Amino acid sequence: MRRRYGRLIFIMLIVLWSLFPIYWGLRTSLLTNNDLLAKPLKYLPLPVWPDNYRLLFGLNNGDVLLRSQFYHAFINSVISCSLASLLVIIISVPAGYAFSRMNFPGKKVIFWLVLATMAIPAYAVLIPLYKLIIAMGLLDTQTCITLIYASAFAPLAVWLMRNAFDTIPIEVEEAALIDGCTRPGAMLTILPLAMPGLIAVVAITFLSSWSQFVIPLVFSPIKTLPLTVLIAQFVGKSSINYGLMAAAGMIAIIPPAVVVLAFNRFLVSGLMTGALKR
Amino acid sequence: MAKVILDHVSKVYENRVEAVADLSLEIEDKEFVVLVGPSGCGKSTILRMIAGLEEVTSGDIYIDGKRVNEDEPGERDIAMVFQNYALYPHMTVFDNMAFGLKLRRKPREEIMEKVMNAARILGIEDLLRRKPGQLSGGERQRVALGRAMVRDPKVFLMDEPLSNLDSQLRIQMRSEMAKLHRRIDTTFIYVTHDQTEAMTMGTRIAVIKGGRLSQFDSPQKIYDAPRDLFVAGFIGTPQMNLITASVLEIDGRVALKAGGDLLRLPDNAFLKQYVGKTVILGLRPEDAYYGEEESMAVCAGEVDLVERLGSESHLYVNTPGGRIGIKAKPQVDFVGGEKVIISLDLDKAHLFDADTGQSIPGGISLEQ
Repeated sequence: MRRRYGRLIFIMLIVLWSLFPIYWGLRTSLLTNNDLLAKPLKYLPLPVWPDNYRLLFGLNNGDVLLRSQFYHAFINSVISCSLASLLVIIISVPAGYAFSRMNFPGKKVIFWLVLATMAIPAYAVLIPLYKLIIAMGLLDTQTCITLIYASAFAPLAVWLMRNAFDTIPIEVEEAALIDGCTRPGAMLTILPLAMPGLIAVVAITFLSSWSQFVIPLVFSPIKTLPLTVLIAQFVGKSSINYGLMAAAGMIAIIPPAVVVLAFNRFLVSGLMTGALKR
Repeated sequence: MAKVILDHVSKVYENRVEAVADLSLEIEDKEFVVLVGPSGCGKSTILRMIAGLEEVTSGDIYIDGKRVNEDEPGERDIAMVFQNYALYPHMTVFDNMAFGLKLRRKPREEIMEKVMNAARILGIEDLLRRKPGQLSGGERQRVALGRAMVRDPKVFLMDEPLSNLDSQLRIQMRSEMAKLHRRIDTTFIYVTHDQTEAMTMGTRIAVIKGGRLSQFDSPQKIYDAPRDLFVAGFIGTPQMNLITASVLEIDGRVALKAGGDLLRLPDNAFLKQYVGKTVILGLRPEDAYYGEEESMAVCAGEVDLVERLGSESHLYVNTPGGRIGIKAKPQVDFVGGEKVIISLDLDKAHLFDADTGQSIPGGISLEQ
């Protein structure tokens, strides 16, 4: 009994630890600048002052320019992260399958080389990459940012997909081959069994892309400017608009939260039960 | 419905392990052939090569007269039942069975009819909407069979399909499998390590050892005339008694000496050319008796163990020539250590060359 309480308290601490910053952001977004600086510190956002959100959405007396900037940045973020996720799926599923199931010369070496690229820090390739992108005339395009995100997150995704395919019994796929599937067809037949891996790939790619800052700061300066960079620009020369930054941050949390919550239910265990007698 | 021919087929893996060596088999149309052998003998590899899941290193495989070495598994018109069933866990039973037909773009009505028909034969009509995870082992087994049946394949391949079932269900499925073969009337190739399954189901049995074919014959022929020591020891329970003996000539008559005991041979014994050599005498437990029987070879021994099966008892006796198993009446009341006289019906004995392990043609008598 005592152990159960101990565990409960431990979990509560972790929840508090994770949620408190979000709460603090929410509280900050709902206070006036004066209330923010008031002493003693206000722990509750009372009175509620929703003007920061009005500003962002351009509601009555809102700033039309700000609204448009915010809207575009939001859409930019959604597009680049979705495209990157899609591209990573297209790359990592067949690649993971090949590394898991097929035999070809240099398989191990190529696999380790792919993984080794994860160890290269983004800063190390930033300048050569910038020159490359300029030369290709792709600066400030969704193509550019999508390609960079995909190249950054594909190695991890390939690894995850290979492990996911490794857990699927080979016989299920052989049954599909005998039933008349081609190799790619057999891969697609067993893909639902790799769903937990695939969802992890999507979640990781989307969330990681969503929170990128330095890469879009360099490669997406104007047209494709994402939320993360826009929010940082709320820091003015002489003042910092904490309330507005917090409000934009609160909205920026929503898409990744939706992704995680939506996919979470597919991550159910027991998807594999019944395939084989174990 | 097709003839399957393996012509000097070998399989050597990348690590140079030779799984199958120069194997030739001719499986007739509509036959139920069982590949049997101990684990690791290459029997599953043979099946997987026929299925196209494993490449052939050398030699050719023909299905229905067509060389299929390079054909994809899906192009060979075969169906396979796996040891662990390998059902698609995310599909219903119906979809599992219909999958191959859908891939071949059969019309809906035909798919419906074939799946329902197979489900009726297998008694799984009530399960069609369930997923494999909700089925028992025996039910999954039937679904796996059904998935193979609906395809009307030229050849049915089965890789130890019963080995994951409990023993009662296994015995039941054994007879159902034989019935199924009669009913769908197509070529079956069945892999097992269980010699009882092989004996009860096969129209012919191929005994495999170390990637080579030891013998390919009807079950009765394999039991009655095993071609070498391996087949002799592998088929039949309890095992055939194998006694090492030297051939002597005493007073113009041939006799066998096993561990100091002189075994009297039948009058028609034909072993002249083996005089002075060592042979191995093989005798089924049902051809050995306790007590002294007239006109049989007799030797003395000590009871080691009595196994009571209810319908019969197996008596194991240590003799100077080796341990001898005897199939006896259920009522035997020997105890361990007891001294007994046993009789060996050498008329029924098999003889093997001690050097090569091959059976000596004609056996102990001149009859053949």
